[in-house]
Amino acid sequence: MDQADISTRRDAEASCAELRVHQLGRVAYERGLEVQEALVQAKLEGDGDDHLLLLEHEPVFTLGRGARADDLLGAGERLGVPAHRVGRGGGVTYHGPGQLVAYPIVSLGAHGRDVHRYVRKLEEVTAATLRLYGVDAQPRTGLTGVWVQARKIASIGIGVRRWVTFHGAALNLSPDLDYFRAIVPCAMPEVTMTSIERETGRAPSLADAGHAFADCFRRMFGYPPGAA
Amino acid sequence: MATDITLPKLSDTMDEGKVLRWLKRVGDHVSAGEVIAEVETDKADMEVEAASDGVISEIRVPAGETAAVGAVLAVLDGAAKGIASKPEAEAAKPNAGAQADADRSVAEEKPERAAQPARKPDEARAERPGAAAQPARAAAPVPSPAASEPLRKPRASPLAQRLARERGVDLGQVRGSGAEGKIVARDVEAPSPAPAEGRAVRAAPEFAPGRLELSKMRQSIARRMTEAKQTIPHFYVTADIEMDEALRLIDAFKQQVDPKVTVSHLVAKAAALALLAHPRVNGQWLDGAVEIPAAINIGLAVAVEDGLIVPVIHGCEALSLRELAVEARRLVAAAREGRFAGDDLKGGTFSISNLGILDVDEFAAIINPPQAAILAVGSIKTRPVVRHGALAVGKTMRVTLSCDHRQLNGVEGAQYLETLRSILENPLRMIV
Repeated sequence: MDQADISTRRDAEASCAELRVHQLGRVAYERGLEVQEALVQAKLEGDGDDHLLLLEHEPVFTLGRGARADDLLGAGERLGVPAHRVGRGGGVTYHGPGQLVAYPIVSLGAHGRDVHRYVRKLEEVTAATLRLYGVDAQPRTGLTGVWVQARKIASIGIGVRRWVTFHGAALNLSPDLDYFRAIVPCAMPEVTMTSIERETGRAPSLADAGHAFADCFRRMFGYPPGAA
Repeated sequence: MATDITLPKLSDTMDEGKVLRWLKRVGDHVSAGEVIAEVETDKADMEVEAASDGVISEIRVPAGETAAVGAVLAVLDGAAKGIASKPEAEAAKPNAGAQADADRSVAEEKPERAAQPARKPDEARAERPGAAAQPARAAAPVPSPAASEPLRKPRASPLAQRLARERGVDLGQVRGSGAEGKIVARDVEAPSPAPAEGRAVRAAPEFAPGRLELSKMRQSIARRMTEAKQTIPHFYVTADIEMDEALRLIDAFKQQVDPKVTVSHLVAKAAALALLAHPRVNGQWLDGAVEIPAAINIGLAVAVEDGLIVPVIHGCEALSLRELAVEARRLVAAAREGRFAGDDLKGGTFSISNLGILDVDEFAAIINPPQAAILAVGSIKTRPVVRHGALAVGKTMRVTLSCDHRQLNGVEGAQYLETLRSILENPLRMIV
């Protein structure tokens, strides 16, 4: 049912570029930044392929460029977890084992040069992926991210450099949700974070969820099917 | 020749963006394509580039502020003094090198041990050449631009979507009856008439999205109230008090006394007298023991612009009704103007919260720790009463005493209210 939903919304202009999907497993946050940086540079210098990085991080807090450090509530020091301020939109969030992190490095030039539209599509891909696991995941108008009723199950925050995207989405499969309680996630003090595990009692492996995300991403953005 | 650097329209649905930071300062030379600032729209951090070579002569929108699409963010003086072009700004590859320098600062932030809560980390770490021209100001709350997005499809269940497709129904015309306006199958099958302006089609309820920054006062109230509710086992006792006599007394005062005595003053005085008779209701919880203070200091909750404060009338047991009224007036005026003398906000042993001027039947207030109780006062309303076995009409006021069950039990709370009622219903007791 969900596959059908996505294909009816497929991007009219199918992408000519290849999407290269990289399953990286568990990666230190700084290493993730380095890889993204290298790929963004390559694209800016003319390399036509788009990339999708799928991974998870060791526990880390990150802050968007406009995020308030107050929202960390001192959790970094208290818990001995590093914090990074990075070039993406959005507030403070947590990444850690059990959370699928997806970094699409794509040229928005081929997808309409419309940042909001990209964010919406990324949201939809994220929601569609989560729905495959039996969760009623939906975007909510005005509240970027993916939600199960009033509980937030995935966060979105991207950076764009000359229409090349980096950063992306974080989907809660089975992370330790206590880390979210230690901060003000996404600048929303009242939000309850949830996960596939919290909602259904089970959670997919990182690899499985990564495959599912890649599939949904290809369909939504009109890439040719791949081996990934 | 000056060029304006404007906020680019990064999406059909983008109306405004927030400047996150400036990577260049006034006076810096920039090359075409070099990133000079980052702006945020809907969780996307976009880099704004210089369209041509030049020197930044003016920055109009500082970091932390929002601008409309097309607004001028900065002015580039194109009549460049021609000096000190960065070596990388060659015609051949004008962007890669300079770009990489500026952008390296985007990805390679040093891991930052979480900043102490009060500091903006950008200010501390901005001492990189050419970075962060403007000190990051405390970000004002910005409603998410996506909230005004009219292109969003209404949410509909997969079955509803299929039915709509099959029947050629435009989901934009269907009103959803599911959670948060979600369109379900029966809405497509038997649609209720679409409302004007597509109001009900929006997936989210109508409210103004955005973040309300809490003032220091509200943060403090939030902390105290949470602490109170989490640590004090509250119970509540309510009583109706006939205020006809008390109102007559106030009328009498009006003619003779200045300043005028109000119902609030009477209630405070009566509360104080009742506390003399029931000292445990004036108790203070201190580490597992109850302390009965020597004085009766009554706090009166006053609503002010960004929250609530509770100025305290000290030594009520020794004040006449008139003296109490004078002091209460002084405190309320000070509260409204935000200026207090030394002890005005401290040392309360009992509190009163009065919503009587609004149309409130009754309510229950939250105890101010470490006090034993708080009195919530409703409006005086004309209600049926029974006097001497017959139905009559009286002016009654409903009060609710919230009590700390560690200090007081139900009987003690009820007895206090009984005394309070008898004082207010025989108000001359307050004058003698």
